[in-house]
Amino acid sequence: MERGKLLHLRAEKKKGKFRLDINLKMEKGFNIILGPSGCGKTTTLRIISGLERADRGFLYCCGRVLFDTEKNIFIPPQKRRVALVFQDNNLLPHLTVRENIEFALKKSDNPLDLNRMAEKFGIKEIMNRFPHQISGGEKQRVALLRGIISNPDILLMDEPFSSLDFDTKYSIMRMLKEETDFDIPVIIVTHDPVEAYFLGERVFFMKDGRITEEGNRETINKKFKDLLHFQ
Amino acid sequence: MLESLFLSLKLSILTTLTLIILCLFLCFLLYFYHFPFKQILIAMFLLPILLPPTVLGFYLLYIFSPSSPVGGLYKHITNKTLSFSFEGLLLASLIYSMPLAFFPLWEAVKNINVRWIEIAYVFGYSRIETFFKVILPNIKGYIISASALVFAHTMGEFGVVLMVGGDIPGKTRTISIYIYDAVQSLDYEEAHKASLILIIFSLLSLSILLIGGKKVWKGESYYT
Repeated sequence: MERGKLLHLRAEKKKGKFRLDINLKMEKGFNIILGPSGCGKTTTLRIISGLERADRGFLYCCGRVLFDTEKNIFIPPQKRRVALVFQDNNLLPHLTVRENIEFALKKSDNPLDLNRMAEKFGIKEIMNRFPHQISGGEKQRVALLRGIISNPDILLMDEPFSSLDFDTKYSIMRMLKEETDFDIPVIIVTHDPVEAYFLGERVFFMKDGRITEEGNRETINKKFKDLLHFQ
Repeated sequence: MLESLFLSLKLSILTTLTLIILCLFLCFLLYFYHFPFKQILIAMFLLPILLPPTVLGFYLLYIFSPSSPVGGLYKHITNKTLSFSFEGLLLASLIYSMPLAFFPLWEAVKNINVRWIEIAYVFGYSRIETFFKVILPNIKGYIISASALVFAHTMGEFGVVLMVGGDIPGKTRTISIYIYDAVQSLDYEEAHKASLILIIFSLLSLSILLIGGKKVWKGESYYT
């Protein structure tokens, strides 16, 4: 793998008429996959997490082979040390906030300090509540903390801010950028260029199952100037 | 009367336990695996709820008789007949009460969010651990409802029991048949006593269905 690159994914997958064919090299920090609905962003995340299998390809991350179809290697999601945050329905409804976060700790070798992180994420006061007793923004904070707390090798987020209102969305994104220092690849898929601009250190533009361009904030700025200006 | 009551209890407990495990397995299989004619298979599981007990009892009696392939095979293996035996009664109860277990459990499985399962996998939980730590706690209410319904239904079952099991004391004479016999012999006092016991069991089952279901989650209820 190239110097400085922590994750290398090469994947081909056919799903009916849709065909995914990507080659991604990612570094530590925020990596954004930006593209319209149905372009294969979520499938890419699912392949990285091990929840879906690629027809052909490989995934190397932090010196480990997570799958390689040629060598017939497939590490199941349980053993990949990845964490996943969805758009919604992240929290287990029968567990309290604390129990939901501890759910991620049970199999973790080197977890972060729960109380310190809960304070950072502003959820200390709601630790004993159930998911239906907290707001949408609080739910996403809890889901993000649950993703981070286990100290995973890869953090995957599938449209994590889409269901939130404007203020909540930006307060959580700001917290994520300022309060956390990731030395792992954090992969966020989104269809929102503004979110990508706000978080993106590296941005991968995706269309029809392929990565069409690689860039950074400036690339987004050029492509979506009017929209960013408006926001 | 006590003998009939214990027989009914034994039949109800065995039917409930077997149906909950069997229907949970079937519901998961039907929900997660796709194959042709799945809806027809589901309709077949639910059919007994629409059939008159006499129709179901008649066909079960026919199938259980030693001259039919099923009854014949059972006799060949065990040297006993299925019809007019406790085993036959249990099998008939399983078929007759199946819709009452299948309906709530099918709803339960349909309400499971696949994301919860995926989150468990990603955080390192095996399939079995995911079942016990994620799926089961979230469908507990439906299991309680299904168990209460099946138990009460089997306790009061009459038509199919009479057709398949007959009226053999200690073997197939359940509490509902006992009431029928008491009325036939004009022993109304005994019929009253046995009926009261059945009513108490039915009320208890309904209470469990309503109160038990309500306490499923520490925080939120399915019913309020």
